[in-house]
Amino acid sequence: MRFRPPRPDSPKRVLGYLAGLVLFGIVGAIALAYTGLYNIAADHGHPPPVYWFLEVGMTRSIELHADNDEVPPPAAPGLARLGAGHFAGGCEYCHGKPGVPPDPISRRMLPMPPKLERASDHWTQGELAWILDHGIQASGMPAWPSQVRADEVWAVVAFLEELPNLSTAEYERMVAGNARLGARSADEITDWGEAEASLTGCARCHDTPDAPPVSTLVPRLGGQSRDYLLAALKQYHLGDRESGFMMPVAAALDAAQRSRLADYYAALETPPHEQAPPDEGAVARGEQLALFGDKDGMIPSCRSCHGEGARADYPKLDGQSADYLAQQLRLWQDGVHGRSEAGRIMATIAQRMSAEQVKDSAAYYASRPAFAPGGGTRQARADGAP
Amino acid sequence: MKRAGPLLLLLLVAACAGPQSALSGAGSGSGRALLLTIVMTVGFTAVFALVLGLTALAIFGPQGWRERFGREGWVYGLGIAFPVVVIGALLLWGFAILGADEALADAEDPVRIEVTGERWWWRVTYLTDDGRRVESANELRVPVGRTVELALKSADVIHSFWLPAYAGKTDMIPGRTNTLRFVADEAGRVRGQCAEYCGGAHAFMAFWVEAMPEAAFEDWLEHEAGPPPETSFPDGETVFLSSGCGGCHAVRGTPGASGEIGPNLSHVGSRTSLGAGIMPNDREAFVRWVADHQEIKPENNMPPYDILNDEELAALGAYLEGLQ
Repeated sequence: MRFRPPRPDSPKRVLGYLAGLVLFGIVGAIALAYTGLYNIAADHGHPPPVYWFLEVGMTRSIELHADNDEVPPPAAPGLARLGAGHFAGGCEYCHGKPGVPPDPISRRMLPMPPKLERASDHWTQGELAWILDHGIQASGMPAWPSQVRADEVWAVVAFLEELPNLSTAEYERMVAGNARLGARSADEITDWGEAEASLTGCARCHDTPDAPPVSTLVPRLGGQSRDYLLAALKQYHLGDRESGFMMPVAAALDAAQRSRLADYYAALETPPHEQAPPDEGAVARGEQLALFGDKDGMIPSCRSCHGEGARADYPKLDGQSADYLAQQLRLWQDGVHGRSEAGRIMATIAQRMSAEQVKDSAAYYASRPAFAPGGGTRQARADGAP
Repeated sequence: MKRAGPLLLLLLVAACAGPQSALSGAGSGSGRALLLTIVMTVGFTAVFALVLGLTALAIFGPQGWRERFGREGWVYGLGIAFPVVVIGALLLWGFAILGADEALADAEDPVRIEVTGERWWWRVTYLTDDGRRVESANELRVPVGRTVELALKSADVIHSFWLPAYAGKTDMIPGRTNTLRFVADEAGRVRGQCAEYCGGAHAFMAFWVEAMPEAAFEDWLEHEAGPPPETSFPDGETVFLSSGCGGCHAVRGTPGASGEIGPNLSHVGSRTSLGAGIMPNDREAFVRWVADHQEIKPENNMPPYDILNDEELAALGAYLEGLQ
């Protein structure tokens, strides 16, 4: 028998074979889904090739999409403590805490949420920030509650950097923030459950009579105007004001609770932020802007809205932290804030401010004696002034 | 159809009247310009008719006429000498009229007013004889028969100050001061507007000018320089001050209202119009402006004040109307 070389196929034919293969693949995939042959049960687990496929796909996708050149915002004092407050309420249930096995319910998720003590070894800061901001599809990992506050996830990244070094007790102390979470009695446990740090525990991040806010990025609330506090809580509740930290908290609070909290904080005496003394030049320039505005830049004086005799739904700024004030002004400049009625006023003005003016005005208000319940300042009260 | 022609003419003539007409000739310069316009229009209509008549004669006329038109003398006479004399005379007269207002530069004791075009309103500052600066907005008052000297400036882009009843357009150019002088011949109220496209709300940038007898003007300026009468609407004043209006708007004599960014509101209730010549100047208009100004004049520089409820708006409207 004579050897007959296979006849070279025409290019047209090769294309035909390829199209057939693709069609076969599509039909096969549809058949797999439609027949229900693949077992989707979480307790069944993935077959090793599928596991490999998903794991590699996820890792490569994160590495590709995360921006490692993105410069994290300069670390504000207490940044990791702020992240800790959110972690305990938002992440701990699935990811567990140091020295304690994860919750039996979350352990039955597939994929099982990883313990995060190794997260900062495994991922770069940019990758962690990306995962926190965007979440991971079909894994149970949600995206950040506010999709326009990528700045906030860095607090959680900072906390994840510290997590590997924390003992159980240190972790508990850190996530409690300013809240006094003591052991509960049997009665309390039967009614309320264990003293878990709930997201809605304001004192985990905000000020108490004994302590300032845990971070300079967290506003001081004690003595703030009641109407402003109520409006802010309502805006967070409705999603009109953006914050991945505050939106889940306020979403859980009904109108009566919000009103009680506003009353409570408006009457609360609390110590001011612990923050580095502001630059004197910045304070002087900020004072000029706060008292007289900038006519050429069409910026009215800050005090025309944030001074004596201002509306009750305008916030008091005296003694607020510079980091927080500057951050809020930048959010108005970036168009993140400005959906509420009052926010639209401030957005117009903030967008006329230069980066320098933002820093200067924040430094000036941070340098002022801190506001107190009613009117006046804490200092004036200590001096016995009426 | 026979009556359509006169009717159309009537409509055209009607459009020439009114407070913003360049044909009213209510001021020194505009009066002379009007005379020049009439003389030119009548004169050149006559010349045009003459040319047509001669042309018709040259074509259809009797043999004798046609022969006469063939001579060169016609070209020298009507073709060269006549236009040179007529147009030359007109040019000289035109120069004289254009230059006539320059003589106003020598006027003793003119009324000096600074007008600055801003998007989209007019900052008006009266410079009094004793050196005070009295700021107002969106309206000018001038004495009859006395030279008015306007220093025209711009705070942002190029605007043009056009007050056709008294004078021609004069541009307002950033970084420059242009001077416009005129004399209002009789008392009355005329309208002007920005005549150079200056952004989205350019068409909503107008103003009123009231020419009044000298003594009345002096009294008015003295009142304008002072604070408004004590308000009968303290609730409205509280809304005004606590909401931060005073950060941009000044009300003389009111602590907390010393802003210089927006129009001075010391006597806003006594003005002819609101929003730079686009709305009436009553309580309802003030309420409508504060509540809806971004709809009424899109992209103007005032922040939206959606924060005010109906009660606060009503109080604020009453207070502003009371700033007389």
